[in-house]
Amino acid sequence: MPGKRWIAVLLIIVMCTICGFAGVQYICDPMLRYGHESWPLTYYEYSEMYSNPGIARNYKYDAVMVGTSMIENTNVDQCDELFGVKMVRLPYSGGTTYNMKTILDICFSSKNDIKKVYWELDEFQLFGSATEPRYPLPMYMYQENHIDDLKYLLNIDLFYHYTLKDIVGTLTGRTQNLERRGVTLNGEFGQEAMLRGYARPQKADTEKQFEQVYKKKVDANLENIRLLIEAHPETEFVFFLPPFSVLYWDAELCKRQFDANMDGAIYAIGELLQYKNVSVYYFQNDEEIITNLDNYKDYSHYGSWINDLLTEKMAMGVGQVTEDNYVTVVEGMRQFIKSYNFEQYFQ
Amino acid sequence: MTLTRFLTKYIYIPLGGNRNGTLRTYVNILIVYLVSGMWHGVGFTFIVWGLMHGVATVLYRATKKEYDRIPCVFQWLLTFCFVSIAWVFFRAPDVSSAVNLLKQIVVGGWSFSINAELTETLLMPTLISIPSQVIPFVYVVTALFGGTMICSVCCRNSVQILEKFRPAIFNLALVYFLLVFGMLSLSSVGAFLYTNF
Repeated sequence: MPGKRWIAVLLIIVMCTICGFAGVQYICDPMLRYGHESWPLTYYEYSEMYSNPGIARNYKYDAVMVGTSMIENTNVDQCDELFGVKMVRLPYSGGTTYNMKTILDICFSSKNDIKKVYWELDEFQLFGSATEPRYPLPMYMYQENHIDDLKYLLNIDLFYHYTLKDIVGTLTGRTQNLERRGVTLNGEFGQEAMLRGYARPQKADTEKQFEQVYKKKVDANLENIRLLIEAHPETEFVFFLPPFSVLYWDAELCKRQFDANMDGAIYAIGELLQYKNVSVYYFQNDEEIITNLDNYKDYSHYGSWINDLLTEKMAMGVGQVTEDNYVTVVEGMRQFIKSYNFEQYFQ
Repeated sequence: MTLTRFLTKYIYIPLGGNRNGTLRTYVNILIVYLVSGMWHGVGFTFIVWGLMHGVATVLYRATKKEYDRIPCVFQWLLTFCFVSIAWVFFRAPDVSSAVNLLKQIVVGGWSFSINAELTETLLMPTLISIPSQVIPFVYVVTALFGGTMICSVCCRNSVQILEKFRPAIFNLALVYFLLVFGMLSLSSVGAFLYTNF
């Protein structure tokens, strides 16, 4: 074969393959980057980091729920019914406030009129990084412009792990909408499994002080939250602190950062409640939930029935704290944990 | 113009190359490699990396007759180990980190295990996940290492291939596959050592 013809044939078949591949990826749009009016697929594999921006941009909704893995089992249909909203759920496993702000900025820049934001706020967010996501984000999915779209269209990993499964799922008659998906946080629940996986930390030498160790971090994270609250006064922000099991607090006691944790919660709740468009629900002291280890798969992650229960409680206003009582409520939690008999689990 | 040609033409030869005696030649070589190290980056690690190659080249020149008598397999091994150790300085944030890493190589006893971070650098999810569903991952990685080693030793390198290259259907298919796979993998490649250059 002559050299010129060899090169010409190579270029033509490479270009055809690449264009064909990009075309399939564009039409299937597994992460809803383009939000086609009539999607050809009925089944979608979900990936938080990749799918969330597409959902935020293209779905029609008036409420958003953001948070960490603690909301991965929240039932969106139940929320719609009990809160009287049309909600999308956008969790980031182990996510930081940077994650939440990034995705909420996209939500607010969408065509949707967002009336409510439900924000699962926990110590991992308050004391974590305010400037970095938990895991590196595929920024080409988050940018408004389409300059880097080739990374989405010409991506063999996305094709193999998502597009192909979406096509197979659709052809076999399965359906799965991204924002309505059910339980995604699975595993073995129950006290036995939980205790098996719990490694009690060694007692730390010194007590950590909130002011010295954590306040700057909390302030930086609250700033991320404040920017959103102040930029959208017409939106109601509902924060809720999830009920970690008592063993989470046992670990905090061992690390000698429990008091700092409680002080941080009081400080953060106080700062948030200064805004008129903010309400806060405090579930960390829900003794019935946190002392029943059968509700958990590890020291922090509870089963979907607890998500359902929290939704019901919020719908009824149970667990809400106000400027008048939040300090008393958190101090009550402090006393409860300090007097709790943790040794019963380790005998 | 490659960096090697540039350094040869504009530094080594103007310095006198190998025309002014053995000692001066060695000094010229060391200077060239020192400049090469500095060209690659700012920091003492790059100077160390450059000088290591300079010293190795000088040592080779000084012991060429004796060195060339060593069986080629041992020569490969020696070169490979030396270049790998030098890369540690190239990549490390500072010299003490590099030294610490090298120390870690000789602690921990004897065992056959592949560090997870090392395997992750070779992770090509799409390619590997297919066979790893039926074959344990460690065997896949070992096979990849082994295959790469055999290719490195037994196969012709790219320059040799190019010399004898004749356009044909077989190599068209091969180039097509590699080109397409490479283009489709661009957004999912792992960290590449030379990425800053």
